[in-house]
Amino acid sequence: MALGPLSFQDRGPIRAADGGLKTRSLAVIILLALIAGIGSTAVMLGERPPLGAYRLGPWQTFPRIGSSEVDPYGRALLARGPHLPLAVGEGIRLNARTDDAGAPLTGSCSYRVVGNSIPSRGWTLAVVDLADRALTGPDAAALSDADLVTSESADILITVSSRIAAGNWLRVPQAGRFGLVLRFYDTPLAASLGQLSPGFLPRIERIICGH
Amino acid sequence: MDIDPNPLAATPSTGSARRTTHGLCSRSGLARLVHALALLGTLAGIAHILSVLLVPRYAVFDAASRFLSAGADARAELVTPDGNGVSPILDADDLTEIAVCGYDLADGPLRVSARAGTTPLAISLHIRGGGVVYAVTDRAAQRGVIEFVVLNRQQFEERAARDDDGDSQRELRVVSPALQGIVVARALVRQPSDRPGAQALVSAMACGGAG
Repeated sequence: MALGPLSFQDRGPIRAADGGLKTRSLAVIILLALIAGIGSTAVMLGERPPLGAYRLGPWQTFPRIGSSEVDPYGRALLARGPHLPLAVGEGIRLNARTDDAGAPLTGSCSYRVVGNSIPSRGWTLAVVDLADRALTGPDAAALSDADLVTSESADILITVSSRIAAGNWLRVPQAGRFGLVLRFYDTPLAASLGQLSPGFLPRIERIICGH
Repeated sequence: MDIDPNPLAATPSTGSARRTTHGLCSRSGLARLVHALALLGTLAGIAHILSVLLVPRYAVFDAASRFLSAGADARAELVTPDGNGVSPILDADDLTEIAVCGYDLADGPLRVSARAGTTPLAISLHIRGGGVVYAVTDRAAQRGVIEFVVLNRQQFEERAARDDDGDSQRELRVVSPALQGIVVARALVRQPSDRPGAQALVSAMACGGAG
């Protein structure tokens, strides 16, 4: 017996099966969309906001994170944990994970942070991990402008190294990557970021590696 | 029993007809795949945007939510590191001292006042769900005191309507877009000897009802 094309009367169960298949496909698509949408949000809300970065040499800042004009990503990032960003007008925070040449900062190298002072009521330089959190315990290291011995060649001259150094020294862990956070308090810097050149901020020069 | 393996091709079957049918099937399959991917992309985009916007709304881990009950006795509460020296604030500068007061404008406006000292001091307003809406430094202190009133829009308008001539000039009014938030006093510790003074300065911030 040859089965010919399906007759009109035969299509009922097939339509129902087709409808079930469509419903199941739609449910799978919705599930995948939720996973993709929420997953991408979780990925984008990492340690730093995905938008609004301002880069000056190796330093990066997010000036709007401390203002009412913070974008939705920045706001969501702030809402995910207890953050108290410096408000615009209160100060500015700059992060660096690389030296001036773009190489990652690592404990196996020594660096020199060198530059001229910037108008502010005070500033601090701290060593942080790659999540931009201050190191704790014996690894904690930070200094302020008041700790500095000024030199004739530059207002700011700090050796960043795991080995003890003469003059201004900021200790870093012996191995692994790290970051630097430079904060200026009560400074007009945030308002004039657009007019600044990278040379305005301290440079991060690599001195030697593999010591 | 003869069963035609391809009922769709039960009509006079020639090579070209089979190719056409096969082409139609694959084309409709491709169209279905494109539709499914477009639907997936659109829904994922919607889920992404909604999740980014909803994170601040339902935030429970942000700084304002965490410290909402701080300063219940109308005096700012010092934010202290835990036993391991880890600050509860993710982006804290170890060379600062911070004290906070939580507020809920449903209980009425809040009057904030702090005395300027020898170390740089800033006061900022962080709303629940993330975002800084106001900041002032001790440079703006009048006779050594920083003072302002935090209100919501309705309270601001009611107060303005009650004002006698000149009342509005006597107090600084800050409108908070959210009912709940925290007032943050932050003082810079430029030298270790500054720390006790900085702690006393930020802890002395008063934040009581403004009537």
